[in-house]
Amino acid sequence: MKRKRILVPVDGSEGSGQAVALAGELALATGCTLDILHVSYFDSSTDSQSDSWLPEEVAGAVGCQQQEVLDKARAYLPEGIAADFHLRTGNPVEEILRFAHQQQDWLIVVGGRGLGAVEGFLMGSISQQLLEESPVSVLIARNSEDAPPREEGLLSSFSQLTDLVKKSIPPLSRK
Amino acid sequence: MEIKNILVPVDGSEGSDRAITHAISLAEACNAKLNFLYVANINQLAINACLSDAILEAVTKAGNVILDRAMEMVPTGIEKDAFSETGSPAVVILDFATSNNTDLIVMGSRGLGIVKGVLLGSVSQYIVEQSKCPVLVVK
Repeated sequence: MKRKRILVPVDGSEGSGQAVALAGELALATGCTLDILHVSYFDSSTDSQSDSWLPEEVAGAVGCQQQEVLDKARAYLPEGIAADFHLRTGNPVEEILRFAHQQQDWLIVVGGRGLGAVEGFLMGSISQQLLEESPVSVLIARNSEDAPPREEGLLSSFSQLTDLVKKSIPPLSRK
Repeated sequence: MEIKNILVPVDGSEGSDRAITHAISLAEACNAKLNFLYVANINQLAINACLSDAILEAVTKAGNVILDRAMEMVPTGIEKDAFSETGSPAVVILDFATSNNTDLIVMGSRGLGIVKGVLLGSVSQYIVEQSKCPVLVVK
């Protein structure tokens, strides 16, 4: 398999910054080129030509915002990494997967949180969807400091239970 | 952030074989050490263990076979180690990652779980959500 390009979808969040940093690290080690991609639902062609009565943050132009997102990503990039910057418009997951296919990226690096509208989720909904639908391997970047608290839910209580069962079983005789 | 320790949980499935191949090429590029971990799922075995010594022995043997095969795939010159544990796989894998300074977990998207139809295996899903270090899910 050719391993030449790594795709990093970004949205201007902290999580996608970490993804850029991690992908940069990998690119440095493997000699790959990074594709840094921002997908927005709208672009400058959908910007209204006339002035709107809505406030600027609602009806303002998105053209410059897209550039800002890419500039933010550039700031996380380690020095000496070859990277191409791309803008696309549409449904993020669909566009990201189509782009990965076109560019023949062998890996997609995403932030563990931050992509997508619903921030309360453990993992961004877009990262989750990518993970499930991508034919390409997905690396979820994560900063240990802001990792989600360990869920003391069903799984760990179940393992405690089985530990208990194990202890209550008399040791097996071995030959 | 440098990648020095790569953890590869193995279960003998096709997905875990692909994860091993991927992890090897990353370890080569990053000059990192590979730690293979096999977790015997005692959740499923707690009752069987009462019944038969032979079953426990068979499980240990199966784990060793899987670990040996993984170790053999690694070309010389790359540091490697094999570990065998028992318990609930997702929990054991995360505990192992934390206590062994793991920089990256490389795993398959689906293992040998019971529910084959699910897009992402429950173990992979739990690890992706709860891990403190980056996780590479190999397709």
